[in-house]
Amino acid sequence: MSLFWRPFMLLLKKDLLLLKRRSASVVSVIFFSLLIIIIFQIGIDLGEMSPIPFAAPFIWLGSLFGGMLRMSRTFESETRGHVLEGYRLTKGIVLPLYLSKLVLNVFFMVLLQFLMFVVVVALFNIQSPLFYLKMAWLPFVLGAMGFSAVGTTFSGMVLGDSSKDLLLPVIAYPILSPLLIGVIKSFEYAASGDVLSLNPAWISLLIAFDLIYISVSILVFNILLESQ
Amino acid sequence: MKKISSKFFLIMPLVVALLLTIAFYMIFIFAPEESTQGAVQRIFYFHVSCAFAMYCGFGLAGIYSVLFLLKRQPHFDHYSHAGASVGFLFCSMVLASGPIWAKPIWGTWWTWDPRLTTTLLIWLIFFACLLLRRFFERDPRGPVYAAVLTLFGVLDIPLIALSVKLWRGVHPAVLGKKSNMPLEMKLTLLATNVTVLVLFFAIFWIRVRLLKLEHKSEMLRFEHQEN
Repeated sequence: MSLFWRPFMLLLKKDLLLLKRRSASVVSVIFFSLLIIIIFQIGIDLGEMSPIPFAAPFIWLGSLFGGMLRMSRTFESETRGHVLEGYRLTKGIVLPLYLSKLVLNVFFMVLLQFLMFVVVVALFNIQSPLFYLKMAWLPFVLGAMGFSAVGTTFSGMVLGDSSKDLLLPVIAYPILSPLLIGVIKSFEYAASGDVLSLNPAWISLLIAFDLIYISVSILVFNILLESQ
Repeated sequence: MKKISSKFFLIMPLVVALLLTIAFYMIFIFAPEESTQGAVQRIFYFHVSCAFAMYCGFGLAGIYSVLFLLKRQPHFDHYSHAGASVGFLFCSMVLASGPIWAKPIWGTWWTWDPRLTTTLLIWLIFFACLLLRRFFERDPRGPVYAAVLTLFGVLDIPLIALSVKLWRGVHPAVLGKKSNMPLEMKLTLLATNVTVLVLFFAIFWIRVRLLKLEHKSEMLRFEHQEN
């Protein structure tokens, strides 16, 4: 088991350290997501409608656009200094490498969603933020896992391409469509607009999406690494 | 083998033309007119058959992409590529014929009905697959990436279909319900299905041949450059 845990923890520590050192790019992603929410807020006139049913889609959309920028930089540190060649020659590195990147991306997405939640609570004047957070955490964490599973794998695919920033969203968003719909549809609202409950059928769909794409990604990641 | 192939190439268009003539006769003359929708309902035979051919193409693309990832033989990539591109063609036909049928019946070219949305999403997925192939044209990594994306896309189809079921819509259900269509309509649908499937396999076969020839010429060009 240490054959997995030791490289996994080392890779995760290395990526966390790099994330800390490149804080400017992290702040840029957060700022970009914030801009998306503000632009949507300006563009959509809610009028007399309750803002609460719009909160989840705004948080999710802001995080998705920002998150895609993060995904395209998942393997940025591996592109220099023949690091990938080194990985290819290392036995049993594929699973720790993929899972460390996935865990880091999920962590980043959850953090981004939480920050966007704070922004949305302020902008939409949500009266009971703790109750909203209690309801919203599950679909958002499941959404972050599915998004990161597909994003991390595809990021490994477009790694060597000069137009990866263009290619990654084009190939990832259509695949992510059930997840994009699922997170939003998980919420059920009362007539007053307050969050009433979560729809278990959509939560099951999100779990199925996560399980399928994390498993398939683990299976194909070795092939992707070999082909680089 | 070459002789059989060239004979098939000559006979195939004749067979397709004959089957299309029979299908058109059955759609426009043999099948009775639907009492509520009128003549426009006849597009249904073509629309449904194209949807079957579309799933056939994407299914083949999925199977061959897995085989390519396991065996890494170029001909599996050709079959997967052909399945995705011909499936995409029939998916486009479904998306084009749907609004023509919808406008007089629903009063609008497009609604965000779940089944329409599903077809559009599948169309987008396979458009992305074909686009990825263009991005990595003449790159040895291209077929591997395309196979992975095709596999992801095919796995997405049941998830999209499930999300449709959860998100109920106004689209008429063709499968899974006990049909009360008259026998003439059922026979017409069957004949159109067979015709469109034969047309699908004919285009699929031509596409595979073209891809194989392209690959062969690419190999020759490479060998020539090496020498």
